[in-house]
Amino acid sequence: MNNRRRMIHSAAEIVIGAVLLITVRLMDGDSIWLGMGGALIAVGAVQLFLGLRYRMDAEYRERTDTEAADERNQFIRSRAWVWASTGFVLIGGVMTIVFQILGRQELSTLCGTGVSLLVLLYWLSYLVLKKKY
Amino acid sequence: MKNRIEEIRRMRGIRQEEFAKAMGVSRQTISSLETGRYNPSIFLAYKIARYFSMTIEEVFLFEESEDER
Repeated sequence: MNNRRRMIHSAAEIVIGAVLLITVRLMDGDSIWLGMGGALIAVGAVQLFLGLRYRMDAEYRERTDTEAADERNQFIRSRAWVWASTGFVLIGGVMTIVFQILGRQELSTLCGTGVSLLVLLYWLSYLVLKKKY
Repeated sequence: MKNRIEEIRRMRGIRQEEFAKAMGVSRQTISSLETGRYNPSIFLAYKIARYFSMTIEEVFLFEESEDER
């Protein structure tokens, strides 16, 4: 995503967040939507600020571009995803068993489904990437 | 994989920042390459060797017994 697109995206997030916030306030709705609206505004504002900085500050732009293209950084990012998903599967697997022992069937099923979904996504990704490379 | 990046860079009086900029990577990447914590892609290895006007084999020392990262 280029910077202009990212800034439009951020502005849209702020507008959607504000609309959500105002609508929930007017309709006296659920607080979860209030939180979501606030979070959208906060995320949009931070991204917009970073987008503006990218536009104005040449040094920051160069540093950001280098970081994005840096192959070690990309390697670290993909390794971090591997670690995170492995951790998710291990913790999810253990929690499935623990909840089963504790008789919390719903939670056990939820954890088991999460793990299964991730493993399924892994295999689908593997098949796609196998064809690609 | 061992390499001679630091040795060659120092010999030519090039600073890490300057070298990183020329390679389009961060200074931390150069530091990791020099200490052997990170092995570069073939593209970066080629770029580094070309920057020094050397061959890849002259900069990177491949050992048969080495395991991949």
